[in-house]
Amino acid sequence: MTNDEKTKTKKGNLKLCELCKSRKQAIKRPKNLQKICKECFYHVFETEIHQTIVSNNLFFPGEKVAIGASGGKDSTVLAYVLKLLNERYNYGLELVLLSIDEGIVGYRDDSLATVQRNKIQYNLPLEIVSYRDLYNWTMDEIVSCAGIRNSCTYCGVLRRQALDRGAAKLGINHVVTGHNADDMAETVLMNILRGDLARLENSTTICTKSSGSPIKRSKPFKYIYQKEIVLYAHYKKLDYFSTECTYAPEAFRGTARVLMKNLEKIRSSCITDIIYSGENLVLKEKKKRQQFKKKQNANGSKEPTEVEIRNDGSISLGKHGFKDGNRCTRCGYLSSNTICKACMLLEGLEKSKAKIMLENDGVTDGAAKLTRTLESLTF
Amino acid sequence: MPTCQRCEEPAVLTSRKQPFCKDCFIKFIRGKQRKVVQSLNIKDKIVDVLVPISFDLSNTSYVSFNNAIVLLDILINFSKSLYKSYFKITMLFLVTAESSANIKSFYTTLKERYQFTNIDIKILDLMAFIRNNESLYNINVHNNRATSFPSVHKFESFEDYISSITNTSTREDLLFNIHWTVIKIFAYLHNFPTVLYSNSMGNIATKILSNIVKGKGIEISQILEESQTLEIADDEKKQFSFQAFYPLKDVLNTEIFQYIKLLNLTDLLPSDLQRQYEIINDEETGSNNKILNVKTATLNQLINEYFNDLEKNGYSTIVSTVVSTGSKLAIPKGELKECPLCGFKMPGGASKWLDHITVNSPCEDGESPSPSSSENHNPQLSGNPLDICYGCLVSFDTAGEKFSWPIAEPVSMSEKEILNEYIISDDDDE
Ligand SMILES: [Zn+2]
Ligand SMILES: [Zn+2]
Repeated sequence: MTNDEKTKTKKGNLKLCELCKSRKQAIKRPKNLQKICKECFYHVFETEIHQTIVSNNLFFPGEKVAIGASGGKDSTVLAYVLKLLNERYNYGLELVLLSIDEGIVGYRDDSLATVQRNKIQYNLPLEIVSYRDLYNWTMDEIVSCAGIRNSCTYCGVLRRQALDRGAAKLGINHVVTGHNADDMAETVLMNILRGDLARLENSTTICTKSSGSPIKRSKPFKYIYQKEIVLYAHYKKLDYFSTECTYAPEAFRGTARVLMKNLEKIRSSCITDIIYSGENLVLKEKKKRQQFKKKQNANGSKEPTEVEIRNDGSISLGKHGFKDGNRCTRCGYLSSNTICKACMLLEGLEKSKAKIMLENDGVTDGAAKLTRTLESLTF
Repeated sequence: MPTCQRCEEPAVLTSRKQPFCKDCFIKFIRGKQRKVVQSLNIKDKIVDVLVPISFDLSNTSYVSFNNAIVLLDILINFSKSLYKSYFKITMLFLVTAESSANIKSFYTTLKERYQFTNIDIKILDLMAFIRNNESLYNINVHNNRATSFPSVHKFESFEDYISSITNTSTREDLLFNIHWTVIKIFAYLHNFPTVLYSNSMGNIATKILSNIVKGKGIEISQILEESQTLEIADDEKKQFSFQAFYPLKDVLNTEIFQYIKLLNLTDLLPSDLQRQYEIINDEETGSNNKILNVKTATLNQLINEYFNDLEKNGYSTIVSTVVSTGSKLAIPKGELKECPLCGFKMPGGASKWLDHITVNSPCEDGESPSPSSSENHNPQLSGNPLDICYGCLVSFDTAGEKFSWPIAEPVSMSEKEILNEYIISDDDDE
């Protein structure tokens, strides 16, 4: 490597940063394997996020923004960096930490303690909304009733609504989450593997909005590698809670994750590359596709219709369109149906709680069945 | 032993969770081709089809050969019986060395076995592709920018050319680009209206996912498109169009193996590949038993193994889902141009996109930067800037300094001559 030699000869054996050529190499950037110093790493990490924010017009001056804070590394780094950039570049944002207490003993107790500390460390207001308050169920209760297998389904729907409801309660229309490039790439792969046409074209959208909901969601870490977030948190000595959710992801997602890790070992850019592909995926016009669909249905094939959970926990409302202004008759939350998704799930839970002695079989429509088939898959 | 679900005979194998006897399985596989054959709209006329086969004795050529003999068997059987109409099949062997003796013997065996005369053979040395040194350019990719200048390297052989690229995943991409381009040019030169690729469902799923992974998602629809075109420089029509089909796109890798086994098609394989067949395949499942080393594998190999694992574990529906998803993709609207390296349509601006998400400047506060810092973060590149697609930009970043590519205007007369010169064997000499 000619570059290496160049940086080596400067100060004897000391290898110098490939960017500034003046400080000691400290980090091999997971994104492009560049060997750089700590200062340059902070610089590129923060500037890349800033560029993403600016080029996508994520914020406007004076906007109130809620940071979905779980106490995990992604959202902790997000809170830290957003506060930093807000001051450095005068975004003029009013930042608030918004936490959801799902009621998972052990996991959430500790992570909420972390968020409480973050509140003090970053001097940001904190709002905690609990499942108990919102739904009258804790996640532990849900799992004991619906089974661990469905936990991500429930958590995905309920958490999204919780963040939106929490934000609405505070009069905030914009929630930012710590979803990173790895999450994005995984979503693209999962949508391809599951043949999820409804979501394929928008797998990598940086801003999403449930139809009818006033709450906008965005992902400033869209292009940031998970590994770099870990490195940043480590070197900045940020205070975060590192345990994964005790309810592990479904097995099929797991196999795609392993594949992606292996691919990344061969070509470090492939997470970015997948996102680039995702941004350029376009479906053929509907007419042709509908003919195809008919054929598929005749074969008894799957057509996801029920609960559709995105990787970021958001749900899709299906293709039936959304009638604006409709509200859930149970909870008053915006919904295209008479009962919103969360209430539907919870109602199902109430029923199965009554029949708890019977074998719990969960939802049995096509999509759920396919998901279940995929879930049992490990190799 | 379970019985065949279709005829109650004893089953000899299970595929897609269904027990099959030999005859019903063969019928099942052949039946999958009916749609393609019908779409060729053959009534009473002879249809000229080109069946390309990569043949360089590599692992992928083994797959290509296996698939091709299954496709040939199916086509010949259709031609001889079912539709009272027939194909004129031309096998196009893409070779990288003098392996033509093997191929000739395969051709003789094939004709004897089927007693079928409407089949020709062409052998094309891939060296033809890089022969024209005037159009050979050195491609340099650095800091998300590509430049080109006339190549100073002389390549002795195709192997010499290919081995100048050390990154195996990049080499894989390069080989695909060459095969894809050469087949199109060949179809044009010999005026083939129809090209039949012998890729299986597993191969196509691998191609789809690997394109996604390599930042080439935009190519998927272009590869699977039934109507293909080639820009021609000195042809009045300016464009050559042909149909491209993947008749085996509904056939699983394990089914290809079973089909070969049940009909003893291994007898057709050249001896080298026969040996490879014995080593690689598991008698029971027909699947590849080698365990990939993650560190030395290529991207395609990893993805291929992923799909093979799915198939082996009874999740072939995922493989077919990926293929059907791929077939629903379209080329994005808006202004597109052709990538000078891979020839696929691209939106352009890949370098800019990368610049936007990757900062390449140093941190300037704190310690004062050393005087060399400004000169270094954008080293001057020689040659002309070349706007290539995102996938090529990423892939050829690791191609090394000798990497060259014939950047030509659309197919020209000189290439025509060269390709003809490099056709080793024609049906004429039979
Ligand atoms: Zn530096
Ligand atoms: Zn290209």
